[in-house]
Amino acid sequence: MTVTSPTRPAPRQPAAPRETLRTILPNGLDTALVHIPGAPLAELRLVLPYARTEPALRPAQDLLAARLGTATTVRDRQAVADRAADLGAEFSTVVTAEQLVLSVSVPGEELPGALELLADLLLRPSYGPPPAPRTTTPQPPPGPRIRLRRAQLRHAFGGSHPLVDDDPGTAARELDLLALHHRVIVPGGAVLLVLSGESTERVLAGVREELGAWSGGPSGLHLPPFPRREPAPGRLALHDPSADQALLLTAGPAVPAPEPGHTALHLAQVVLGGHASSRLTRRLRERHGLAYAVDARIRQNRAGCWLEIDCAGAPGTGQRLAEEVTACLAELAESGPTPREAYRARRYAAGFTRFALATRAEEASALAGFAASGLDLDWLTRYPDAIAQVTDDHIAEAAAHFLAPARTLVATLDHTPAPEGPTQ
Amino acid sequence: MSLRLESGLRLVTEEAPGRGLVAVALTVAAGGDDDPVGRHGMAHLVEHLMFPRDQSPGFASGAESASGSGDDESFVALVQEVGGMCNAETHRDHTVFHTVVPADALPEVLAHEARRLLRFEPSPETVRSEVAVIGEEIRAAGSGSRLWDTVLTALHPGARDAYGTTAELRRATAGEAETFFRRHYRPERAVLSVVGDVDAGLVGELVEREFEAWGREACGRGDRDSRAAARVVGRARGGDEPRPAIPYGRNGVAVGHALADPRRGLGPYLAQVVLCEILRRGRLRRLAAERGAVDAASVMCGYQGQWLASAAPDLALVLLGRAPGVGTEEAAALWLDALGALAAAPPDGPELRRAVTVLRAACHRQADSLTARAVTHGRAALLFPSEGDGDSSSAGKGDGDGAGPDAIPRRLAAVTAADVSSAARALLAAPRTVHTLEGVAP
Repeated sequence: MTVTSPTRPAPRQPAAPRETLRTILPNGLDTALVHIPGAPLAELRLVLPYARTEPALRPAQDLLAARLGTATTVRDRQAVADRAADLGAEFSTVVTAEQLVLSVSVPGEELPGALELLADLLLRPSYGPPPAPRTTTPQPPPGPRIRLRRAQLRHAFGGSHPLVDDDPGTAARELDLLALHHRVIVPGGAVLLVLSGESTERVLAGVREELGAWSGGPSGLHLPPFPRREPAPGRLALHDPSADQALLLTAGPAVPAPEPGHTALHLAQVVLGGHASSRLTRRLRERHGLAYAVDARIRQNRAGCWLEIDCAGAPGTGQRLAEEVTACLAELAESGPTPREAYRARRYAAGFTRFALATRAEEASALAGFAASGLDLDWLTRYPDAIAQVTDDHIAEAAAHFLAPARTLVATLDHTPAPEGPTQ
Repeated sequence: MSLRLESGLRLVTEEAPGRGLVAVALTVAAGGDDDPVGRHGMAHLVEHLMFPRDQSPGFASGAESASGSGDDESFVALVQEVGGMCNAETHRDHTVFHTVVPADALPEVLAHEARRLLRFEPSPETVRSEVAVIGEEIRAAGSGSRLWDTVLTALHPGARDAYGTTAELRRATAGEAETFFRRHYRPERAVLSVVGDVDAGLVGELVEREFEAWGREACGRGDRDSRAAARVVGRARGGDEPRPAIPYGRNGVAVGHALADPRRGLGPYLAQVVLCEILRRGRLRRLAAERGAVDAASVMCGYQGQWLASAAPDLALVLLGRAPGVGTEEAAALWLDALGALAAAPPDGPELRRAVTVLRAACHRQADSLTARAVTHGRAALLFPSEGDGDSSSAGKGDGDGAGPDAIPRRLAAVTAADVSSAARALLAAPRTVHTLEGVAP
């Protein structure tokens, strides 16, 4: 073959928009269905509110999450495993600070069987005899990272809150998992997403048939908002003589998605610490060798939204890390990104968004997360358009407003005391 | 679509629209089995050197970034800049470099991919730093990897892992790395596979343009590697003679069985994959539950459980937990009994169907990743050419045969109960090795 002219293979035209259907069933289950023609696998995600809002419930919540989906009143553990194997299905459970996500991956032709098994697990759970009441064995103290995280959020946002409270829930009462299941594993307030090669109408009919009798909720296990909306700035230094590394976390103001202004801040965050050539990486890792990895991200949940820088360095470097991070914030806030940095940030952000949807499994998880947090299902696919509309000036304005050190809390934990500032 | 360039480089392209991404895999027939004598890990080192730091004096692009702008024009920087990912794996019979990026970055990625092949010229400093990195990798691989390697060597004398030996690599020079590269990284020994939101015809034109120089400059510089013939010697002992005990996390037994050679036909190999799944899923669990002598049992088919990840001689590794007072031979006999039962009587329909369904679903899950698809296409074309290029949807194929990402699930579905029974007999007749595992305190 001879090439006579330079040829750049343009991307193919985007595939036709996917058929989606979203409805709330009479039992309160928010159901989102996505049709992907020809998909060999069906992906199901059930998202349930699961914040640890009640300390006394925490041990039972942990145990329930570990045992959910293992047995029913008509199938013991082995029968559930055998049925899943017959279907070629994989069931898994993930718990975050605010949700429990039950995931199912199954060959498309076995979707009806997977829905039947899912319904059995949700409607007719069995947890066997109640576990013996826990003794009052003292819980081990939280590690340095958790201590710093709680202190950071407590200082930034104030007050008592499930994300900052130290009470691990040491209640010694009997753990009635079945009662807890019927209280919190409920359709009201939950989101079910099914992504498959089957038509949305047929999938909806299957969901109605299998899960229509599921009832209850909402459980109310939602993270409450932080007492303060904006983080209190300052310098917080935790002293831990046994720390084997210096840790740093910051909390600065931020705009959650999809509010106006989020995209410009997102691009400023990418310039600051969002990729391998970011300001923070070049300064802390490449110029000073202070940290192997450092990143900045916008954290967002029902409690609040904040811009966070996260890094770890050698013991004794906590104060130096704080100084360099503060200097980096100040530089970017004052001067804004260079045109080259803004170009790179736009390109990186536009590319990276595609990777959240790179596989059907990842796409299902992302879409379920969007649905559960109130975002449109196509929010991410439209995000590159939003990025394209942000100018360099918009990024500079966002940096000036949100990255100013005077508005940011810088928290460290190290084995040497910091020379100044509040300590704990 | 597949085609072969004049240089001998094979290109496999699969159009997979809809995600806005493209995966590129460069699969080269150079692996740990090609390591020169006294340089165990050279293939692994060359893999690392294919990701040069931009500042490396030996890499031409370093000059381009010397503007003081802080820009890094290396391959890794390019990929990261567009939000993509890249990595590589060295196996015993091949090395694969894989990258996934937004589809509009494909021209740049292919240009950089060709450039790192054309300008491979590592500096001594880069070799030293990458040897140190590999040393850490070897150290972190841990005891699980060492057990596998011990059984592999016992079963296939001369075979070694592709990680390398730190002491040997410390003596490696930049010149040796370049010699290895010139000898083995040649277009006729490589497959480029591209999967994603692309037009196959345009990809072909672009690859022609970017890769046409590869191979021309090195013609005649490579020579035949005679080491491989000298390295593979002897044959595994075919019995269950006791071998020195291996320190392990607990008392147990490791049994290694030589797997069927997939290059001589995928059918018998895949039947052994199904056989292992049947044993792992149900029969070994029952063995552990019902027979007091063995309190835990598992079987892994292929290197660390990754079957068909390579065409090099491979094994099925059985791990049995020995109850107190139980000897190695007694425990191993229970395993052989379980295997013998399947050799004597095929599995029933539900048992077979369950194992095949689980394996097929796992294949579909893996093939959902564009990168995994590109890698599988590359391996299929490079390691199993007699099986065709993989899929019935591909140009030049139509018989559904092959080792491609969509062909394997179909071929698994075709495995019969009689095939499984036959696979069990073949496994019993193949070379095997038995090792005592001796529990040591952590």
